Amino acid sequence: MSVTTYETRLTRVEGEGLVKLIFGERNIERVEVHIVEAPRFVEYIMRGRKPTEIPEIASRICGICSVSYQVAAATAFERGMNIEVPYEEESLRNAIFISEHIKSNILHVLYLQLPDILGVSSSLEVFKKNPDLHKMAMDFFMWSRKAMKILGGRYHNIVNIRIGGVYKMPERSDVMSLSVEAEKAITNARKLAEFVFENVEKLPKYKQDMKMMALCDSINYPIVSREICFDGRKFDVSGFEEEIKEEQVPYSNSLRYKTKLGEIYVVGPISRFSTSFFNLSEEVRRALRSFGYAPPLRNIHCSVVARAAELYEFSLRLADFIDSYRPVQVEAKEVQIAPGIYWGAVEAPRGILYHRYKVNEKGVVEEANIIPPTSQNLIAMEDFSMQHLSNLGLLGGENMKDEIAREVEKVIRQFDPCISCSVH
Amino acid sequence: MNKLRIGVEKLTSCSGCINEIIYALLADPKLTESLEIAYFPELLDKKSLEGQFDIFFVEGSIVNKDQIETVEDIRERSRLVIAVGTCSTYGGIQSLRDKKGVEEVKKHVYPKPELIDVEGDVYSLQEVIKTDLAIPGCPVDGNLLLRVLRKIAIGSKDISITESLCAECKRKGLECVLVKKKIPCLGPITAAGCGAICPSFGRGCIGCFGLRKDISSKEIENFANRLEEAGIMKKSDVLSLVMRFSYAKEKGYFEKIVEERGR
Repeated sequence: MSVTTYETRLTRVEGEGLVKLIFGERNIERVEVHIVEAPRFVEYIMRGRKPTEIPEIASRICGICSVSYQVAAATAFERGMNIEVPYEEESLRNAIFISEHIKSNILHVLYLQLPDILGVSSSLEVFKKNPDLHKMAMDFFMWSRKAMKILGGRYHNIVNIRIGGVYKMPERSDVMSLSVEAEKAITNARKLAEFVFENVEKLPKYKQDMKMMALCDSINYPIVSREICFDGRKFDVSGFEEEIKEEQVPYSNSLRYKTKLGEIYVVGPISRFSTSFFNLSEEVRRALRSFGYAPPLRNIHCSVVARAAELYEFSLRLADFIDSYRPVQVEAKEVQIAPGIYWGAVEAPRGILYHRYKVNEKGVVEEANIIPPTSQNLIAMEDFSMQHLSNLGLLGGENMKDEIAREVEKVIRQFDPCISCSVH
Repeated sequence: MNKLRIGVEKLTSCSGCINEIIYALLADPKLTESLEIAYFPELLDKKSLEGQFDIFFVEGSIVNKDQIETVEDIRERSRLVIAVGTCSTYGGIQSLRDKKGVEEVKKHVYPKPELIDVEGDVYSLQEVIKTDLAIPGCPVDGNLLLRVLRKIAIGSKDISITESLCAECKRKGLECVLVKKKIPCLGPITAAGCGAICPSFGRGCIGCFGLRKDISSKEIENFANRLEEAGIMKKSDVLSLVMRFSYAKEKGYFEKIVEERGR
């Protein structure tokens, strides 16, 4: 049997990866997602360092979702060492976290994914033809940048999160300066969401069986929580590693994960949306319903719907924070380090981000394990690519390689992979 | 006027600086008009390097032969190569694993370490090819990048940063956190450029823009001694903080410190 292969670099995703197509005599047999970006061994670097340093180091794992890493690390130690975070500081931290979700979703939807929906090769092309969309994208992007800067110090790798809370509550006048544009941002979020919902007609409609995993929160749309829900049951974050199985394949510098029973699962906006739809604001739900969307979403291409809905939801939530902001004096924090094992999890923009730290008698980290969302989605990317090709009837041989590769890249982009995270 | 042909490549990094590059390339529509973004896989479906470039931004540090070949190719094709961010300028936070024996390091993270193509220490771009400009920052400041682009667009080049962060605090009128509050701050030995973000949040500078270019290991040592004498922080802790973002700049010195600490 003759087997040929074709490799192409993944574009419009964060980081360095390749798609490899493996063809049999007539049909495509397998899709592989090659993660070629070199790892940085951050878990190794953390060894011997104090827990108070960990949020800062962890944030360097990802420039797009650095706040997720800071919050996951900080909450792991806070919960485990019974460190209380004052209410106002926690609200500020959540606002920074929400700003990060907004920024990440804007980058993904407007700069990376939009060209797929509209059938072009880059957002620069989209913007040339549609100046209104460009203006909206730019305004929205700049607002999220400004919010991150005022609340956190800069656009990424922000300096205002530590174990126990924050370093400083920004001046009320600075925060209020975000207020006027917040109204515009909400309008932009709604318009963008509507634009996505309208254009989703162009996306594939076949139904997929998906196992979804997400954090759950009894009141809010989830960002930080101790509880993970999967397959109709809930478990504590400390049990996460027992629920999943790690694997390493020769072509990926990222580890990959399935459930302990060997099932493929998905984390990210589509899972959050499907499990926490009723925690979205009424305004967002109504907009979704008017376009006929309800949970669960049954096709990975609908990830963009979930992302647009989240963008809308988080813009509303950030605007609420801004309007009701009351700074308080931040007290000095003395962290008493206790040895033990500490678990933390957050919903990063791309899904569940899990941290585990072992702190020894010397008060330093002896072992760290970090499982980013993209690593968890890698197997689903391959599996869903084959499902997609099969649903399109696009299983042809090597002569179809360009078209096949294009479709596979579209599927992968729906997961918004963050390759740098996956090879932390 | 001919458009400036721009390329962007990401090596080993977190992509934070990629966001800042996107900002710098797109924030000013007039400037964007004068650019041709010809290679930028994070943003465009263009898969391979073709032709010559006026400016090539390289983000991230270098850890294997493939990356060395890539940057050598970039050098040959480009009029100006600019190292963007602390990783590209000094090696970045991942340099902290240097000299530990990379095979040993791999074992701590991967069940099958033999599959991982990482060959030795972490290198900055400047250690591998000649760069025309290096702009540190973790992440780099997008506005600074924007100013550099503008300068090049109107035909100027070379900006050198040897000022310490302290100057930025003075300009902003910030009270010195080190002197006044005895908070450990790396400002005096760290390159300016961020706008004194940490001190304006009431904390000490974490050194993410890397050591000042003109600082020697002797001066780092003096600085750490002074902080210890003043009862602000133990010398070994100060050095541990300094090396987080600047390990690769004074490899020989920090290697010795880590060894001594291990004993």
